[in-house]
Amino acid sequence: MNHLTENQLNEYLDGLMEASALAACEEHLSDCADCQSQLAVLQSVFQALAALPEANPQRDLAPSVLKNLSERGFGLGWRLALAMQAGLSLGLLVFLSPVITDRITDHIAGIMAGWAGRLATPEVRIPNPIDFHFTTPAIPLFHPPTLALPISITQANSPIWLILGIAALALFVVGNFSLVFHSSSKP
Amino acid sequence: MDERELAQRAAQGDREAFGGLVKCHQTGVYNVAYRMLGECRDAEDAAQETFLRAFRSIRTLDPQRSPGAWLKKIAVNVCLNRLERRVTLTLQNEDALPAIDPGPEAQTIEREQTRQVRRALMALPPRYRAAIELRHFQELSYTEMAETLNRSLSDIKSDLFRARKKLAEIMRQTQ
Repeated sequence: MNHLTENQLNEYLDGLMEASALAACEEHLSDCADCQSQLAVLQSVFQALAALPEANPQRDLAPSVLKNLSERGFGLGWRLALAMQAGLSLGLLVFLSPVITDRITDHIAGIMAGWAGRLATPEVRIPNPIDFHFTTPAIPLFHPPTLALPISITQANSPIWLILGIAALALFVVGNFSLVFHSSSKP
Repeated sequence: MDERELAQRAAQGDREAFGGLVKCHQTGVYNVAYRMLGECRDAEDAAQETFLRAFRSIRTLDPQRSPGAWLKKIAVNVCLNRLERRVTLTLQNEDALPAIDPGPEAQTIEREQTRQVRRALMALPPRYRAAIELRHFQELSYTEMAETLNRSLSDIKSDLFRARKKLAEIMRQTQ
């Protein structure tokens, strides 16, 4: 048998060698001074490490760990509150988007129409000292897309206003309550 | 209340229970850090960081597993991250061995041989230290070591053998 490999020495020392391999290994060790020597060196490391005493921390770590936990963030409370607030914001955004879109598209349409009117003229002359001028083609008017909802949310007396308003308020209250509750439960 | 119960309560957000868990395991975690970092203050900082990380991920702890073993594995990775930020020390001669901050323990009872072993550990590259820590002190299997360090089994075996060999060489030189 050749000299023991790194793996064989490791497994032998760690007691992880299978029975058949262990027998062959021990047989080799009984005849091989080199491997015996290498094994003895490694065993001395085992003994030295096993003799290393436990050290004690110089202070109790629990108070500083708990203090840091409080300072570093609110964990679940923060995440819950932020999710609630995000949900509220998103809900409001979706809820109001048709109105906002209408307003914005009205403005854009107005601006575009104004520009289109100007640019549609056969020639725009730009006064400059070198007498340079160019002609632009007519641009078709911009038609913004419109959102079609199953109900008209712009109707002030629509019950969906009330339902969504209450839901949004509940989200807001729960989100903030979670924040306040979590802050007050600091150790 | 036993440590598993403390861990379960901590997973539900009970900070006092987590504080109890810290008290139970602070010595064990501190020792992991002290063996890997070699300085009392660094070891305390690393132990604290270990507990903070543990709290953030305590919901991932399997209730059947020992919280202590789990915390020590986290501590090894915290220490490895800290060691990566340090300059790697190589052993050239006795003077090149990094100084160990002995702390009160060493001032009174730590024997010369213990100091030599600690100094020899500090002269090992970080990944060798981790291999020694996980095998000799935490008694993990090779497979568990590979999982903890996110490395291949063959790398772990090789590191462990070389770490032991290097440790023996260093100890022989310093005797």
